[in-house]
Amino acid sequence: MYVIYLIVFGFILTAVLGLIASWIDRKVTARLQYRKGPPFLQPFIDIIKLMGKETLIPRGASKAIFIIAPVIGFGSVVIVSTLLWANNSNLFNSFLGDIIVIVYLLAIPSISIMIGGFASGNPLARVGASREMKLLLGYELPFVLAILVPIIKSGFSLRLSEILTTQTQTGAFAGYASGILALIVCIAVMQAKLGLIPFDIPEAETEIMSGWMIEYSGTGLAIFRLMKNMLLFTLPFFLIILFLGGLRLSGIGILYSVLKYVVLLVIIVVIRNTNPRLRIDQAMRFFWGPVTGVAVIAVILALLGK
Amino acid sequence: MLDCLTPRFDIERFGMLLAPSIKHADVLLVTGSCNRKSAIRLKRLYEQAPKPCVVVAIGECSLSRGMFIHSYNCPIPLDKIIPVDAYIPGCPPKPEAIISGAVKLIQKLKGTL
Repeated sequence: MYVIYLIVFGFILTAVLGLIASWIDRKVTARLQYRKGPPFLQPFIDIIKLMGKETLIPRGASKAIFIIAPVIGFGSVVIVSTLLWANNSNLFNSFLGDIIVIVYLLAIPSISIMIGGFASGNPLARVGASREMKLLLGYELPFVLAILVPIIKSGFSLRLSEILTTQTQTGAFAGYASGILALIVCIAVMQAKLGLIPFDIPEAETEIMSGWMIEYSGTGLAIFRLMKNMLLFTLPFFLIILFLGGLRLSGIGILYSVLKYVVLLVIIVVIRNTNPRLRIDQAMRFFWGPVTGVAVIAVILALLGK
Repeated sequence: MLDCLTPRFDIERFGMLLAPSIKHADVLLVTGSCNRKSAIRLKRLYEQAPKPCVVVAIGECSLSRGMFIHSYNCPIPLDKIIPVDAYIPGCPPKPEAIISGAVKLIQKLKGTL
């Protein structure tokens, strides 16, 4: 049963939806700049083209880790999306503590970026990887605090299915003061996890020339791109399950589900297009200062039942 | 060339983006004549690019060495150093010319020209 979820939902469906999301991202970005934007199939063509290109391994790199790093990150994203789809479509697929598993697995793409960057032996890639590490330290604390809110709201349950059933009974958690604060925190964290402007510090094109991925080419780059694009679907999906009551895939519910996802995606794109890049110390100060403060307030409000 | 990325000309409608490093790129644009120093670097850059990679010569300088044709420092033209797939003339070429060259290159790669 889980194998079907892994292949059909976890990999194929998430990859297709993620690539479509990345096309929407590029198209909306282009329209915001009064440009025309890429054709619809461009992300698919890009990935297939990169698969067919030569893979170069730099002389100073540690070969095995350099090759295996994208696969680790990609695998963890596939497992996360499998767990999310399994929980979303059938509530009995849940197990105790799956939300903790997902929080851990969502940190692994960043770790694969780090080990890939350090293994490539390029000074710019090392700078990018060390920035990714600092950014990870910055956003994990508010992320975990914000995820505490739905856990408290659903009566201290660590199952995704119980979070979903509580929301069908009492309405989505985003309707509460604590829920909406936690959702705002999660959107800021999501921007950093996706590595988009204003938090694209690890891969800043103009100063360190795409940072950690500079030495990647061919299949490795394709897997990293696919990982990023799948995260562009998986992270909003996780937030929808936690705060907005999950995706319902029957009848008129489909339209409502698409609306939830598109709203989150458009928020991501608009933030990305209206902000300059922060320095790494500014990003750390932002996450450990105001964002953590808001997350703590949200947790206190949730404990008070608001 | 930068004009092609701006709203008026927007080369992204053909799916092209500016790549930060030659390892991510498919097309190498050469916009100047190769002198004794830069020819070595150009060769190294071409060897670093993951194949298949196409080379586009932009402007009169890279096509025929332009005003440097009699210079002691520019002994060989570009297409004697690395294989060139498309030539875009002009000094400097207009953005429309570059876009037309890019479209023709796509057609050439698809095998329809």
